[in-house]
Amino acid sequence: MRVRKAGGTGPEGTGRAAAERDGRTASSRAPLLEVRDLAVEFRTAEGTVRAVDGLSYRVDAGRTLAVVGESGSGKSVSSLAVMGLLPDGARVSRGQVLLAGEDLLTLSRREHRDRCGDRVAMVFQDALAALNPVHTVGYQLTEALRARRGLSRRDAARRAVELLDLVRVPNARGRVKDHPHQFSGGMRQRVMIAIALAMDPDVLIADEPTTALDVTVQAQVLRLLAEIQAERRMGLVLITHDLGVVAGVADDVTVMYAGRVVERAPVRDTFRAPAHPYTRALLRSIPSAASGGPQGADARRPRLSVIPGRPPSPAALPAGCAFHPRCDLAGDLCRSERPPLTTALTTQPHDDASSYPRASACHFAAEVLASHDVPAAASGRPRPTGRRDARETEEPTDA
Amino acid sequence: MPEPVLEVRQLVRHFPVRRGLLRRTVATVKAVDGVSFTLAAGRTLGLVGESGSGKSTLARMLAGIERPTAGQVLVHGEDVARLSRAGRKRLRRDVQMVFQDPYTSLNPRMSVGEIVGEPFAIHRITPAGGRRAAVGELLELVGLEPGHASRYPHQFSGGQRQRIGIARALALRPGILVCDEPVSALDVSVQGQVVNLLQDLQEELGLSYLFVAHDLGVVRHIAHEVAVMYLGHVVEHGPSGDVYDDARHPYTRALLSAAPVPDPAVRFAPAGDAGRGDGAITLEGEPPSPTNPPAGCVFHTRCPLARALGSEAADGALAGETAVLTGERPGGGHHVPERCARTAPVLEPRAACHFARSVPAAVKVES
Amino acid sequence: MSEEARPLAGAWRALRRRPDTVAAATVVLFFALMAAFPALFTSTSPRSCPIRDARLDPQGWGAAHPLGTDALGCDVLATLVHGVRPSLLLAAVVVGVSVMIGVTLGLLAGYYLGWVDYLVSRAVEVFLVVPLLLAALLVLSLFQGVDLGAGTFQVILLPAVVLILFGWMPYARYVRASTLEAKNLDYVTAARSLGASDVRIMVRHVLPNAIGTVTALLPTSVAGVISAEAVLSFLGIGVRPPATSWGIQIEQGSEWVTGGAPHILLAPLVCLVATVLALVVLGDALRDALDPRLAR
Repeated sequence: MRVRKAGGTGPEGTGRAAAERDGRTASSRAPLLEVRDLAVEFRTAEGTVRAVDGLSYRVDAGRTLAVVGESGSGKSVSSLAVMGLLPDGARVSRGQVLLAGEDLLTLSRREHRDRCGDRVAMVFQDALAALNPVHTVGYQLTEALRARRGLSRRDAARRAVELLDLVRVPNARGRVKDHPHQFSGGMRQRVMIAIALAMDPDVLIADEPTTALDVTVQAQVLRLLAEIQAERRMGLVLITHDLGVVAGVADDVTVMYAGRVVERAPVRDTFRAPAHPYTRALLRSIPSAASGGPQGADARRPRLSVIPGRPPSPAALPAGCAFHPRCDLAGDLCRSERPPLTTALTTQPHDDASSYPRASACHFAAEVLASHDVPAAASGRPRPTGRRDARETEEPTDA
Repeated sequence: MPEPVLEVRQLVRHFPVRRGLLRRTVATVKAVDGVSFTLAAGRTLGLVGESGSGKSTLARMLAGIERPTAGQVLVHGEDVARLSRAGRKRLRRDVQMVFQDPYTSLNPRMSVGEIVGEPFAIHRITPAGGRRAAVGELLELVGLEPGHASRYPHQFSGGQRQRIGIARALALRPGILVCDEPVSALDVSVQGQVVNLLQDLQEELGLSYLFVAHDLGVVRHIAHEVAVMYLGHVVEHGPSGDVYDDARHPYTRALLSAAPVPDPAVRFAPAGDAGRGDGAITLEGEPPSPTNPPAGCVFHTRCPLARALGSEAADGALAGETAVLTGERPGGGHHVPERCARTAPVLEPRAACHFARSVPAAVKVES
Repeated sequence: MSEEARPLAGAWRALRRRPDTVAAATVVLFFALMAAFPALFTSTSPRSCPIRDARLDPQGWGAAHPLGTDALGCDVLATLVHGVRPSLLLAAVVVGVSVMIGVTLGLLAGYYLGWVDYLVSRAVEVFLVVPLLLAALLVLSLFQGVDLGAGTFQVILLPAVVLILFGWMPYARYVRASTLEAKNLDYVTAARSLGASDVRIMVRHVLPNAIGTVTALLPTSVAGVISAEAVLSFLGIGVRPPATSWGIQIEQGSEWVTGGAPHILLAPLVCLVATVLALVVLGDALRDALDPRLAR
């Protein structure tokens, strides 16, 4: 792979902006973006539905936070709330979104978006829908720059080429004049990322950025995101349903179920020893490409381990812990009382020093953590051919 | 070896691209370009590949939705194309399809009972015990309740809708199910339920599956054999354990190493860092257009092995091979062995690659 | 959640729950009753038109001319009541037949494409290009000497033929477009893979989802037909005197809006607007009721 030299032709932003960013990250250990106790409600015909309830997370410079959940878990809605892009009928009913210490939710909607436009950028799943079909890619790349920074047409054109170069679109100079439909799916997603990077944001929120892509292209885009992030020390919030992607790129993970956070931890801890039954069941339910499968022709083949039932509708959440109807550990307490997100979990110290305290919203978190059997992914099973691991896999930390 | 229930011989599907007033054919999309395989009773053949590989077109041809441009489809040894209309209809009953999207594959204006019972109506069959009872049995077979027949699709979740789609496919008691990405539209926690259901049904009813998917994990779990498609060709085909653990084709390797696995030790790290960058094959670019597939081996334009061997050959380090320059732009590009750029490899015995024997070495060369 | 298997019973229950639907149905029933039994609503003949009573203002219920008289001295209420039958019948026939022709051709064109589509699309274009009035004059000259009789149906026959001839195209276009969209849906493919015949696929799977756009068009088409009939009457191929219609009344009344007798226009206009609005509401309700996704 090619490694770009930092400070080369890559657009590092204006010198002022870069210095400002460095100063900011160096002077304080405050997170770039912090969400505190966020709740989002939708008004529907059936009454008010709480789509997100008490979400908190923080993103530090140069780190990647994955927000994981299934459809209806509230993961996408929460990022729209952070960006000030909630649809009509939805509102933030509680909480704070702190961008460099300033609560965006106290601002007017317009100011909120203004502030985000400068510092926080977003990449969507469907690049074809997010790009305007009638304008050239070059125009869309520099629209914000011209409007906000007052760049001249010439400078804007040069910057557009730089941005396409940055996301490794081949023949960038020729392609700025193309329209979105002339790009393939993977290239369009790169263009989306380039547009998001145009304003030189501190934080990038990527909502299922590779879900619509093929695996080989997904690998390219994820790798690109990792490279850009490492180069610019950006904070990255990755919203996804794919635990494989989480394991592949994220440092920290927040698992959501039915609008609430059920588990929060550094990625390595979660995958080694999940502290919530939902996370554990989810990890177990992923069929592995590395092992298993039918052996003999006639032998009864193994079944996937599954989570029974289905995710609840946000309009009709079960009482107590929302996961209890699908949980194999559920007791009377779970049916009556909602478990708080507690941080009193001890984890093994490891090299990956994280400021991300482990937390789990389960009455039996300690039991889950202590008694977990080996999740398929962390066992010392053989990996797919053609790939060697960077680090030796640790033995599972069974008590 | 059990008797084959489905056999495909040199199947081809080309779509003409027509332009202009006279609808002249200006190009041809070679969606499927000479595919052969057999499917045995009670077995599952997994078909993997990326978008544009032709796997869905192939599935649709087998289900009778698309007509092959050339080649043969044999069901129970009978050539579908040579049969009379009635014969085709009879054979068609034996091959049924399960669709990807449970939200668009069920008519929202029909009740579940009408949907599951529609095959009976189409073929004017009254099952023993009546249609209503048969629908109830089918619903029970897929894990729903007979009482659900009076409800409408929108009252069900994605996983339940997929079960309804499976019940419809099973109504005519087919021997073969063509499943086109049957779980990829479902939530992770529900995917497993549907996969397990398909496995249960296979054991209970002795069904054969052609299981099309892009999720390599799901295919490994369910399939006895795997065929890997790229640009309309099967590039590798073998028992799934062999293909996954010891892939012979460079494309299969690339596909396997690109698939994310739920293990934080395997990272999509920036190049140069430790992690995925080490040892993994990352393909550059995207598949060429099936309108104008590369000559010779269709994969040679992106093949890391061809590039590695090509530069060796160009240096004269590879005995008996000459190198040619390949690439999108003249002047640019890479050296690849002449064989790759000129002659199409045959799928023999497992991988369609001139240098299948050198594949394990390629990984080291690439890193 | 409705467990009801019979869609019609469910549809009726959904209809009842909406007061606007009930009001709209009442309006339509009222006019239907008027068309069937005009004698229930007025005892005055619309043909007794003493010219000395021309342009009387409305006199209120119970008086000789509750809604006044028109420019010729005919009773407005009587004309209105007796004009309902030809107007509504014409609207029903024209819209009904146009929908049948348009839906059939649109469905065939969208489903089969190829030369069928080519023929239908060109026909649509031709009929859209030829001006209605020109064609009306042509028909007029063709049927000049022909006496069709004075029965309810004969009275509207000529305008019906002309309006149908130039009224089916929008339906064909809309249905063709939604057929193109619907026929590639997975459930249509599923039916095809099960071996369903083309007719079955079109009728059971494609049409129900293409018909929605048509129901949205219907109420305004009814209004269009009623007013177009007025123009045709002006040319002499509409409803011919002594029979009368809302269109004729509106046409005649419009001359007197500024001439001190606006009621001549207002009375039929209010009836027309009320009918159209009622049909809009009913059409909406019907569409919702037939869609199981919206049934509660």
